[in-house]
Amino acid sequence: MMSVTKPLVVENLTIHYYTLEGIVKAVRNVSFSVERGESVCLVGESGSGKSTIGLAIVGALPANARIISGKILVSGVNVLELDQKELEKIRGKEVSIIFQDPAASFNPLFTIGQILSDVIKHKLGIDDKEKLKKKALEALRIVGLPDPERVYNSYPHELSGGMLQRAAIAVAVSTNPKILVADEPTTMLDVTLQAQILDLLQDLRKKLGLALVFITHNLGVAATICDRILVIYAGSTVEFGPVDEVLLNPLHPYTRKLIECVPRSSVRVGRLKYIPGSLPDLRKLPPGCVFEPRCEEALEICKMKPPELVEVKPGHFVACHKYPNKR
Amino acid sequence: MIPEDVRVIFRLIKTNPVSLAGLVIVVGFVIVGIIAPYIVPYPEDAWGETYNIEKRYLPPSLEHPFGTDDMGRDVFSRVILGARFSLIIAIGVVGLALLIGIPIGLIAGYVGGKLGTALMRITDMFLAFPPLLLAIALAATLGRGLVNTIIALAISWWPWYARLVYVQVNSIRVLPYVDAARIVGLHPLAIMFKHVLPNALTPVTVQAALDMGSAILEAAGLSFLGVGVKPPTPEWGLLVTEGWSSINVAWWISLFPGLAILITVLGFNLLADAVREAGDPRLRRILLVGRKI
Amino acid sequence: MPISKEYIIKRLLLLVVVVFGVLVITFVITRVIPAHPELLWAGAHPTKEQIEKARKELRLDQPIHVQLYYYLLDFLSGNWGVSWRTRQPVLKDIQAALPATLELVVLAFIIAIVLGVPLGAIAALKRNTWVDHIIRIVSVIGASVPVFWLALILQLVLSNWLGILPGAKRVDEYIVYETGFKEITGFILLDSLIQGNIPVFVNALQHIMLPAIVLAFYPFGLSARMTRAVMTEALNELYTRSALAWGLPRRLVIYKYALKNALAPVIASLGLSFGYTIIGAFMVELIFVWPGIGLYAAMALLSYDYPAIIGCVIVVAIIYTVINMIVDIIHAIIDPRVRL
Repeated sequence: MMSVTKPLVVENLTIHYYTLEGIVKAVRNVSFSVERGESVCLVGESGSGKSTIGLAIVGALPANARIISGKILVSGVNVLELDQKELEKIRGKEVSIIFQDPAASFNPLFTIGQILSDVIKHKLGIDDKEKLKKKALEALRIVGLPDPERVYNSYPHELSGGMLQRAAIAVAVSTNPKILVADEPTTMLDVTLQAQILDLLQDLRKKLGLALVFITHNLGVAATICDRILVIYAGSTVEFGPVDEVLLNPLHPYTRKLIECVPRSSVRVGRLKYIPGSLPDLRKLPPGCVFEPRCEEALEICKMKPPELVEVKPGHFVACHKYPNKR
Repeated sequence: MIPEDVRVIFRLIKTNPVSLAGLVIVVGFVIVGIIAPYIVPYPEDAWGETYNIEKRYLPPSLEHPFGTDDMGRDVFSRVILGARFSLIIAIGVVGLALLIGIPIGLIAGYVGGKLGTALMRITDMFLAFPPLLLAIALAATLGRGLVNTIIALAISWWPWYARLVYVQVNSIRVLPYVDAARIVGLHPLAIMFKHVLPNALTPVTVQAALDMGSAILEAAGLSFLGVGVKPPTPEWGLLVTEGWSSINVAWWISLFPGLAILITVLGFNLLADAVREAGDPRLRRILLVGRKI
Repeated sequence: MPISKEYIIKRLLLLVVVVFGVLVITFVITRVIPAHPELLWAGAHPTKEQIEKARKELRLDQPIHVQLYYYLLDFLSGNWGVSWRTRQPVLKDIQAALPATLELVVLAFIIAIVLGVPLGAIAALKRNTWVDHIIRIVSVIGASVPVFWLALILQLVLSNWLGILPGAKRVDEYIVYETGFKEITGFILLDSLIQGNIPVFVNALQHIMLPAIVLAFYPFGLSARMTRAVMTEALNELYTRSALAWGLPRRLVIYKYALKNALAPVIASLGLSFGYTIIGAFMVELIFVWPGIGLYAAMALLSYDYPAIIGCVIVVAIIYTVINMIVDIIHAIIDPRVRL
């Protein structure tokens, strides 16, 4: 265990966005790690900062984002300190990503085959045209596309969302990365496709030993695909632990609320449950716990200072004043 | 354009020196255009009523910063007064084009159906014509003069505005909140005036205001080709043309009016660029950041 | 990449419809709007007989639709009237003058694109740096400068004062005479290369430089601004960020992918700008005494040679439509989403 470096370690990551309306403190002091073949889910509402973390791992943050502090260690190397050239080498080879909107992930003026071939050519160094096409078709086959030749020759607008997402996965794993970041890959797909893509990802994870960082706002999806789950609220970690543990024994009030809100087919409810209130303005954060305004179990101390992340049970962490640091 | 947008745009213009320059130029132009007759050093020269044979072709000096022309008139005065004529042309062309184009676009977009399609077909026919060409043909037919020039340019321009309004009305008409207003029971005319109109008209009026620069440029071109304003109107394009025959000995007669055109149109275009960038929400978030990709 | 035959046929049909529309509009302008159309067609100081003759030729006593019918028939059969300035059939004059203009305009566009697109790309890559600001200002100036004024000033400074480049005509006659140059296509640059006649080529190149540069200002400004705007947008789109995230080299993503995204709108806008450029050519030809359509039309305007004016308007409108059709086809080749 000690001689093998973990594929991904995120340490005290803090990211701010500089916008015309002010500085948005999108991610604050988030830490987690992913083992080989393991999948960790980042779960949170829209705007909670989970996508930002995913983008940061592959170095694909928009131009107005600034890394304020922290480390992202990909196979032991801090990617935040790399220059453009070194970063380019890492991308695709060590870590890759698929996005929420598969249609927007592909340049509309090029065929899937052209993009896929370019990626394989530049990352695996294959120059031979025949070999390139073979490898590309193989990648398209692995992701379960029934007619790889057709997809190879198609433009993005000619394919459906499900096929495009598979194609995107094909591109991402064609270069044998160690880490795959999946940024809400099923959010824009209907439920049947969702299940298929999740199965595909599980399958690939086992076959290729991928370390998967799965970003979603859907607890149900997270329950299906995660080994460990990290619940994030307004940019900071709220709860973190093995998925069964966290979902069966949720410690943080937010986590509990999230679980309550999932509609259950077995129970008839008069009204769907929801969490009242909305995300705080990330430009002006309160001095205390960031969830306090919406928390039903808030204490006095919650308004005054933010809680620390405490390991309440082995492997199960929570940041809440109800579980104070006993040190 | 909701007030928040306006604030953001102003902040952007203030921070970007290039856009700020544009704003300064445009405001300066409008002011000069309005007060021109009162600040002109040699009023009779400006209006073209004089003929001073001793003062012909004088190079730039303190009394005549831009020199004098072939009729001994002070070029500086004529250029200053020319600002007023350019302003009149700019507002006239754009205003008239809006007057024709907005109703057509509105009706075509809101009423739709056969009338709408027919109106748009006519508009498209006009649009297929190279823009200035139609104006030249019209101007040649109507004859020279300030009013004819404005009419000719406006007629070649209204199709763009009609189309802009049409597209806007069409896209707004199908928005959920319009449906909501209709379901709630609002009278169709009320819907049109309170909800559809303001949002449909904003892009076109912004476009029109910034188009004033192009109107000035095109009018100048028409004057050069001999189908614009009549002498002795001190319109900038005409001033440049009048200096053409003597350009080898008296370069100042053509240089300064042309420079005036360049600077004024430049101001409008810089402003147009700034507004366009600020108006696009996707571009906005990268605007404050100086880093390259 | 291949576009369907149906698409091209569709575009050609559209071309025919537009040309028809152009003829109808010019008919309305020349026959319907004026109170006395025969006065416009009869020349500068017409005698009573000339006016009567014009009335007969224009068939003004017939109902409007008959007039329109003969109007269309005349134009389609090549009877475009007679220029009373040159006393030649208008169509013949135009055919003689067209190559000169095309050569000038094509060269101007080449200069504009070759300079404008790369500069626009650089500006997009170095956004908000001083390089970007300078390129922006230069390209906006290009779009703001009055063409005729620029032509006059540059001719004055570069040709009359400094003598760097010639400021009039297409080529010096004595070189043509001495080297036995023959006209084949009407494009002097092309013809001289075909015949291997280098002196004429160089001489013609020198003569075309100044007018082409002046004419190139506007499309250059347009190309640079459009390229900058579209590339900036493309570089921030998800597909660019995903291409980079998948590990593709930055150079590739910028110059193969993003640039292609920029190309289509730039070409489209250049096609639309052709209308302004051709008017610019009118002015440039007038000032540099360039024997093309522009000079012909400008002289026609100044002498109120109505038949010639209308002939030029129609020819330019047709060329404009053809250019736009070509631009549309190129656009469809580049962007697969556009194909109908």
